[in-house]
Amino acid sequence: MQMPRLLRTAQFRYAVGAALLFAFLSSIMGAFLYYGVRDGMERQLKEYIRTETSHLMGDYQDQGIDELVHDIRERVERTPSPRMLYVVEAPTGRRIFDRIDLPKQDGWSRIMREDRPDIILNTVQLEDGYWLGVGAEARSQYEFSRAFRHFLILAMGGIVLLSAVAGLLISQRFLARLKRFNNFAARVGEGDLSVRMPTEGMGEDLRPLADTVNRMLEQIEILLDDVRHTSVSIAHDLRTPLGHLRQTLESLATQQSGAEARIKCEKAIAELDSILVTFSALLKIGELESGSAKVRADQVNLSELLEALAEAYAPVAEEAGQVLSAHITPSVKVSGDRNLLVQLFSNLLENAVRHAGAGAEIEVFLRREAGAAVCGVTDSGPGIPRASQEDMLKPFRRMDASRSTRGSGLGLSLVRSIAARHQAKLSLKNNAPGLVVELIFPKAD
Amino acid sequence: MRILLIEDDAETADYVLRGLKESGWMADHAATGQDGLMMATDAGYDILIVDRMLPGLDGYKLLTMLRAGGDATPAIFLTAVSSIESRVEGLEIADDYLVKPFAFSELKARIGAVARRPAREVQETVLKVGDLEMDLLKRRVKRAATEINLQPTEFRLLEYLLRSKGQVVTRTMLLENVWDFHFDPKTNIVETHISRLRSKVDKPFKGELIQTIRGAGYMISDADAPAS
Repeated sequence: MQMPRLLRTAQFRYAVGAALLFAFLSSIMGAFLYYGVRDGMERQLKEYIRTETSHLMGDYQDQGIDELVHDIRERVERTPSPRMLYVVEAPTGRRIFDRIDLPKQDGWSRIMREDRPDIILNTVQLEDGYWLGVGAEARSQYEFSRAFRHFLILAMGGIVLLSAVAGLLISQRFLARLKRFNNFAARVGEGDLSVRMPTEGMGEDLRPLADTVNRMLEQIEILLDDVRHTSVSIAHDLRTPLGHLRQTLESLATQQSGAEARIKCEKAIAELDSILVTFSALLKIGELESGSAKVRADQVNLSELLEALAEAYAPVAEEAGQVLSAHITPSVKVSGDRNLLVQLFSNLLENAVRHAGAGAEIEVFLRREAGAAVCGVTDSGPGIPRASQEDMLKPFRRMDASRSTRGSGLGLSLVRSIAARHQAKLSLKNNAPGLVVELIFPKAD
Repeated sequence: MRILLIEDDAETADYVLRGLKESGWMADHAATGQDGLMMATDAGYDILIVDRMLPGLDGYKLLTMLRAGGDATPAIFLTAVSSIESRVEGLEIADDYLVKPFAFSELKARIGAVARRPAREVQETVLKVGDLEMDLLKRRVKRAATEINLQPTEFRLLEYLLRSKGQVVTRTMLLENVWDFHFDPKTNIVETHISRLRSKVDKPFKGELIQTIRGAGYMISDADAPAS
């Protein structure tokens, strides 16, 4: 038979188990208490009976059986009920006073009775075949036992019942929370990543789990969003050059002179090249981010590298109507892959040249700060609003204004990937006006 | 010049072979690494063009085996993957490294550069073309007895062009050898520097030494200038 789910939970079983254990231990304690009190009561009663017996026996030994009977009669008549019980049995078997069967043996005996208190009896053999019995109803013991038994049944029943109820409640609460968890997981399973696990009323035991799961979901959502955005952007960014390519080829198919055809072909090849550049940048980012590429760890003289780049780009900037200057602390070395670092800074410089606009000042800087190399590129161009700065590091993010200009939109994300593989901290800051792209290599020589 | 192409992709092989023959070179083709290794050891080739990824014996192993056997024939790797480390590794045993897809003009220029490499073992201290003279020891440049002041990058650029005198050098070759850029920059860094160099080396003088070769690259020669 299958038990209902509520009764099969671990919580319920623990509650019932604990209740049973508690009841068992309480029973043992109760038994000690019960027999202790009962023995005490019996001892007291026996003491009483023993005193009475010795009084009577004293009279009997002094003055014989008649005086004993007389004595007892006096006592029976004098004391109201409940009184002590007396039996005198003659050798003929005739009993006077309380007609109780006497065991024919000296000493204590107990006469059990249904629904009435037992009788504790002290039997003494007299001379000439007579027997004397002095006893008393164990009334208080009887009452005590009855009361105790009732109490025990009530208490034990109560404990078991209460713990079962408590177990059920806990179990139900747990199942309810589990159900919420399960509903939530089912929704995530259906692909809704925007749901969050409720943390209210989860209790301190499950709340950390809920928090962790929520953080995990948030990360997954961001990553998925990136992937979604990236694939849409790839499609979007490749559609334009592919469209141009198609147009070029189409007009080439109906083309006339050889010279014109050559120009069209060259244009088509240039379009294709720009597509291929996007692909190789994507591949490189993928390679860097998946960690599949081994990054060399050579000593790279960052100062020389930046000096050379500043020199290489100064004429390019000049042609764009900009001024490029360099403030570089000499002989700063970092560990890394020279080629990747060249590409990183060259991307930063190209971004500055392309986006800062004519008349802008561009600066390449490198300085030592507490064992770290702080370097980067600043420009006095339009900059990037604070709100979208973080966004710009993701693949294909561009300011809307620059959508139309040439470029894969992968420059900064390649910078981010290379920086990450060199444990360098990358940040975008405002230059008021303009942009500061700063990199901190924590370990520099 | 005899060239051996070891390439498993038939389409690429066709494209390269046609180009090599049109350039007036003799070219043989091997479609597998094993065949390639055999042909390269048997017949003497001047240049090997080896695909990095081949079924069975791959290009890297093939070349390693050749080199281990004492064969120093110049070799150019072709590869579909531009993996960051594989280029560095590849250049340890090959003389040049070209990432697919490539323009044939690029391969042609590189074959030219690799082929004349042994001749360069002679330590030249003065490079000349026409009436232009570069003294590598004094790091001075003169044209028609006039001293020309060059920036370090301009000097390196002119030096590279002079070392490849009469040969086409591509934009990519300049990026790799003058700037040590192993990627395609978005800005016209090469064009800008060439135009600056021209304004110092060509403009003030009679005759253009630095020529633009359409669809291929640049070349320095004295074809258009009076000899000194």
